[in-house]
Amino acid sequence: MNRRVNEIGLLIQAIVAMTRRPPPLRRIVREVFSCGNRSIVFVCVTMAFFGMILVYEGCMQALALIPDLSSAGPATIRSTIRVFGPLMAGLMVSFRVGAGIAAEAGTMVVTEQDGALLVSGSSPAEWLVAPRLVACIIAVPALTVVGCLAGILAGGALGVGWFGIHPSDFFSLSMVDRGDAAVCAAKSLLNGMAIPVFAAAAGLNTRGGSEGVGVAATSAVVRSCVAVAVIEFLVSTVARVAGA
Amino acid sequence: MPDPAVDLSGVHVRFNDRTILQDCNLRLGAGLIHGIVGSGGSGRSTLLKVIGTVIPADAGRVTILGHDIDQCGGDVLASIRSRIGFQFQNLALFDSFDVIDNVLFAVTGGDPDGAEVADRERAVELLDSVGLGDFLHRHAGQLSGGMQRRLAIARAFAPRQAMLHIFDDPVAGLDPVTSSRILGLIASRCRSGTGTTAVISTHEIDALLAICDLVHVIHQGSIIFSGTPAQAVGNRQEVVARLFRDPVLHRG
Amino acid sequence: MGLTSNAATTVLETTGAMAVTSWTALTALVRGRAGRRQALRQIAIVSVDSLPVLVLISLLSGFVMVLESASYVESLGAFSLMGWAFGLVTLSQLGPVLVALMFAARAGARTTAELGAMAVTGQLDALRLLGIDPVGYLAAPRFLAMIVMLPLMTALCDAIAIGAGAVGAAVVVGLGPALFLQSIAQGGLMDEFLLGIARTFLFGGAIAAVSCTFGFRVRGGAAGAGRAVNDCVVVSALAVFVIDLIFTIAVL
Repeated sequence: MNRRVNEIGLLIQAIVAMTRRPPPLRRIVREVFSCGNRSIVFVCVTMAFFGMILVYEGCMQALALIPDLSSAGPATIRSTIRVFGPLMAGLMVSFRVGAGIAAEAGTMVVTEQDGALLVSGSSPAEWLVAPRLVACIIAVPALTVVGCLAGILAGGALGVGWFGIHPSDFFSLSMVDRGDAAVCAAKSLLNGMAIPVFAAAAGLNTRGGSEGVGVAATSAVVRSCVAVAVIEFLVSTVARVAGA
Repeated sequence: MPDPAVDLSGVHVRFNDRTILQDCNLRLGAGLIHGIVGSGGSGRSTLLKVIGTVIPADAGRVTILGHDIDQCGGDVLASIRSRIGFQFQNLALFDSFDVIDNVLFAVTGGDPDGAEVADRERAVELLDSVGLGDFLHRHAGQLSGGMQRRLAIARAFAPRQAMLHIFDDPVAGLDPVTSSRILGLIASRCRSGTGTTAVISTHEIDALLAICDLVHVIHQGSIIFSGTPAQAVGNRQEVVARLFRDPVLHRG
Repeated sequence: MGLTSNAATTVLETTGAMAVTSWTALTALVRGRAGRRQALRQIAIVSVDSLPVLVLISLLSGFVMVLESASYVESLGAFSLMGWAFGLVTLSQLGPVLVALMFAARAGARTTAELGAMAVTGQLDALRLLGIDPVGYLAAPRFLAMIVMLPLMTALCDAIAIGAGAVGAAVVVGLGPALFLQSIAQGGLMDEFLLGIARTFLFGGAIAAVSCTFGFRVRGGAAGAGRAVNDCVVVSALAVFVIDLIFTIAVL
């Protein structure tokens, strides 16, 4: 019944609503815990596997060319921080929480609770999006850092245990600089902004009863994943132009 | 005559390719109880949502409580909304909240956690008046159908500065005795307020005629009749006459 | 302790259920029980559904890989190796994994939602009453579609990513597309490409097993279906990573 919601508009509405009345701290804390709790094990496990895959593949390819694995660790660490960490953590958080956010928003639309929010002086942007926006901006970067650690540690364990790389060679930050950290921070912060907004928008655009909610939930996952990939591309482009 | 509470002129609303409201003109005098009557699919619910500022008009002017909705900014719109109580046709209760938080949400304008003592007293008093005083902490989703309906009505009365109450089919699916009791409750609360305006849409024509000051008939997306209950019953336009003679037809 | 053993039971139970579903579906396939029309329909659905997302993700990941390797390549002056390194990462790991993840989020989620809706509305029981085993009847064509289409789409996405990489390399470091593509073609990457594709057969089977099993097991209405869809996506992603690691270690 309602007009289509677009993501940018929803983000702006949520920010405007926040300046008018900041979301209560209790709700933010609850949403941070809910996002973190749901995702942390999943992010760590998938990142650990991905880290091991990277190291194994990288070491095998390197061994075929030159029997020198000294840069395997630093290269893995750098690419995890700059590219794979933010990308995979962003995708995994989308998988884990995107559908839930969309399902809640979609259920409210189907039962007209979004209209009830409006006439009660609130709005979907304020009630559904704003607390999650703040929560994900906190939780997603934190999850990204933890995920990167999990990937690097698991990959390192494989590199040290299987390929016999010396730990001090593997766990070396020689290839990492401030620019890499800045890229990682920018990507994960933007992911934290995009995931709740894209998921909620998919939910708020639900059409056609409770079956529509299922459609919205699956499209929320895909849309927030695409958003994560686009952010990856945009930040990498900016970093390249800025020379970071 | 004071400014009307609601003034629609030439309002159009379309969804996809379907026109729901077409050149709809309606003035609702302040301080009165208005009945909206129309058969299913006539655009009744959409009209109420336009009045309640839930959906915008595609064309035409919508003036609610003295403000042109298209022209006013977010702050003015928020203040208008804080003066509207709306009962949705399918209730739209917040089913993850308990009963009292549903009402507190409307009392406080969207901040149930920040409710003060006075807000709670108001919410409890309202819930007592609809007979839900013993179910304050029950989840809204666990109530029976009739209780949910009464909760939705209590919520429509909840906003502190409410000047406009809108009821979309408040007695759907209730037995005649309960429905006349609920309509009576709505009427008495509206009359006891100072200058509040009420808009009620229902298929219980006889009960509606008994409580409202003016009746408006909507047909194919426009208002085709406005007048007192007595004028409505005596009207000879075919559509109007059929509505008031055979209440079964406009169920829905 | 209780929590751990509960989790272990759930994992075992789910794995068992997936094994049963896969066995039933694959034997039905081998015996030629999957209707050709059904299978073709699933193939069409799966491809149309996932292709736009997969193409978009491949383009983006191609550009990102070039952007991120550019400074490295420049500092080493290793322009002739850029295409080879790009092809290696894309063909062996990133392409297959990303495509499988997005395929799970799109086609897997859709399958679970569809089968879940059938379970909730009693259509599975209706099939059983007709003497048709719903697992063989419904899962077999979906298994076939996913196992056939995921490798094909991965190959297509590899090509798209390489195209994006060639364009990206020209724009970002001014490397001629011909040189970039030549470096891939002469890099001896055929094995990587084939191994990359080989693992997607397993990914496709795993996503089919997860999405069908979770769909068949849906209980508790629309909310249950929503949870199942979410679980399907998450478990599929886990399965992709676990299978990928085992496969990589086994073949290299």
